[in-house]
Amino acid sequence: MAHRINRRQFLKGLGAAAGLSLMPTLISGCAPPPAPGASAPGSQASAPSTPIIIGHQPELTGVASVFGFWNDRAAQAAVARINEMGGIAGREVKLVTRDSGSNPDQGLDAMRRLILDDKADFVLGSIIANINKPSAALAPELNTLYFPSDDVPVAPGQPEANRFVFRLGHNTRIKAQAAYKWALENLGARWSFLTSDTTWGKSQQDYFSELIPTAGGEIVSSVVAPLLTEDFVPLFNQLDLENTDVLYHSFFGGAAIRFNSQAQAAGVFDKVKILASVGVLEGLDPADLPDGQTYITEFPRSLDQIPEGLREYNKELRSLVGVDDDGYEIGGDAILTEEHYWVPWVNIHLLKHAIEASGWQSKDDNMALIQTLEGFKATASLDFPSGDFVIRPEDHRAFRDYFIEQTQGGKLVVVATLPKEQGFYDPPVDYTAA
Amino acid sequence: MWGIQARRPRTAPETPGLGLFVRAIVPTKRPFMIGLPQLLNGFVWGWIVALVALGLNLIYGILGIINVAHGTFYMLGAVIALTLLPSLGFWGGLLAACILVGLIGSVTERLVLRPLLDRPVMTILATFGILLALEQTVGLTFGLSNRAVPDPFGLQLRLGSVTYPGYRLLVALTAMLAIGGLDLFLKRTRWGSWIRAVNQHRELALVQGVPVPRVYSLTFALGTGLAALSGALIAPIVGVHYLMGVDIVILAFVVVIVGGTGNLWGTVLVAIGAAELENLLTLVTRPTAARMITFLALGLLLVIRPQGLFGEKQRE
Repeated sequence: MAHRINRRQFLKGLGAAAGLSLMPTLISGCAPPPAPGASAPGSQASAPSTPIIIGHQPELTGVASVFGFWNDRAAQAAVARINEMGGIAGREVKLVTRDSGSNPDQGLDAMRRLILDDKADFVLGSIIANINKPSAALAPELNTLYFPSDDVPVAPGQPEANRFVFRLGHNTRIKAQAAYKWALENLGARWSFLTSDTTWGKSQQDYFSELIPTAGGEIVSSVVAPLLTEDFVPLFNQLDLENTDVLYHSFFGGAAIRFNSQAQAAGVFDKVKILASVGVLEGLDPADLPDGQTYITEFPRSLDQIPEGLREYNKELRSLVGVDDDGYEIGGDAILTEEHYWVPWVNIHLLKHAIEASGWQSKDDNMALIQTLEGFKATASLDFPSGDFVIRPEDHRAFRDYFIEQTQGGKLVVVATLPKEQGFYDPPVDYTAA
Repeated sequence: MWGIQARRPRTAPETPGLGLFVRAIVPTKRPFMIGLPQLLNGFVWGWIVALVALGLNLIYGILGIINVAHGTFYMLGAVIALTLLPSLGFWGGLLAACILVGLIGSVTERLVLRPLLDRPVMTILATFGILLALEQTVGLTFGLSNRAVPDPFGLQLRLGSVTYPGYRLLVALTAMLAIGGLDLFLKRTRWGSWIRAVNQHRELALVQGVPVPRVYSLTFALGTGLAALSGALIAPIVGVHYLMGVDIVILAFVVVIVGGTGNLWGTVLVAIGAAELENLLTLVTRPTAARMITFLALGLLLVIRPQGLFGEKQRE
């Protein structure tokens, strides 16, 4: 008789498969760091002749691998450039990379191993909140400055709100603050939300919902749905699109593709204007989108949309990272994650400036380095191709200009610039008061 | 960007556990206004899910091989169809994807699964290995980005104030034809009866002259080809990504098991029932809760009938 599988065998098999699925985590946890140029453990950073070790915790595999791909490239390019220029304070820089696997356990393990095994002096962090938030909380305990690639929002009393964390990456609150008035004036006053059931998505709805009524707008309808939603049509039916001017959504990655394909097929774009953070478009091709969608962006994807004063730096950055003028990988298929890829580059150069200014030699000097970074003012250059920014001493949040871009002819085109002052909000914590 | 951004202080504090659950199922604002389109969509989406599960039903339900890589073959179908889209067009790419993936499936069966016949646990591990190998190969070659596929149909259906995508109806129709065709193939053709014979008693079938190894190869090729058909057909609705098969295969396994392994029409009924339930629940509750309640209902069905709604009891 043909061998049929009973439930017990099926469950055993599934258990074995689940065990196997954990193998990459276990293996990567045991394996030496994969990045070229990785240092041997045990280097002593206290002596000036030894290399400065920068740890990196990107998403090289898993669901966020498209982000890790670009972050890793940018970090490697930054370290290569700095070493060519003589290193930091005359010391060679070594980059040690450990894959977070887009997995919270593996990511936190990578943070620990980078510091404890690889002796990283600093860690460039993940983009994933479930990884960078606990990693940020760990930073003071391990006396290591942490620079997440996405924002780690802070609140009083939370362990991630500490002086060892510097936040240059994408921030939802700044975007809402900077963009809501422009959006109300230019897109319409009646808003509906189709929000991904993530804290990222819900925080956007929360911030905008609070701001919109203060400027004469109104929230018409809203639906919160799982990020892994395959079928959006029932959700479109749930929204009051007939009385809506602006549909704000927060579905990213594959969900953004599904949202757009199905919204187009269901005629949603004929009824409303689409507004979103460009975070939903990261790693996606704007050529796949209809014209007229509006995105709040940190850094234009196409070179010709970069402000003139930054364009030369941006061109050089693209050449070093291997991305063409329109945001596609040179010699490959990857599509740029323009909100995130520049963050490791800027953080590494920020470290160079701050270390050389503070005289930092080892982790014993971390407090002096922190004080140098607090209030640091960066000027646009190839070191800081994202433009001028200032790190607020109270909560270590950096502020830069933002942009409004719209899809036109298969690309994103800047239609407005939002000065950094528009994004200011009161610091939720004050480290300088301690 | 993923996940946590600081929430604004709320007037009511966050309540953990049951409190969160209760808030999650609070009714939304516009109930009962759009029941007909939701009913139609549930029916259509159910057929689409059944189509995704069809190849799995053949390989797992009828042949008894647990193919964890089913979602990977589904993904391969979408990737190949998208890659061939510029040269062969949508329908040419779709056909080529089915044939190519069917061939890959056949080779996989011959080289990997046949040596593991009668070792189901090893089969699961082997197909999981195939999943990892194929996924990473596609990730490295096709790229890590999500891609959109243009709607080849472009037809929209007006239902009152609601517009319904016409392409979905075409996919549902294809699903009906594929499932009906497979049913006829299994019941009315020589190869179909051989597949059923091998399923019922492999050794007796061999004694009767049924070419058992070729039946295995054909069935696996057919199952993986159908997975590719579903992936290529659904690509214009959900897009293409090298990990796109991971989630859908879970739902496919659920509807196949709850429907009763090997029962094509049981799978269809469960898929439509689950889609209808979820669609209708979104009228009165939040989509997250609708998904949760639907899966709970499917789980409950398995507790009541472990062999599936239309399955036969297995002896331990």
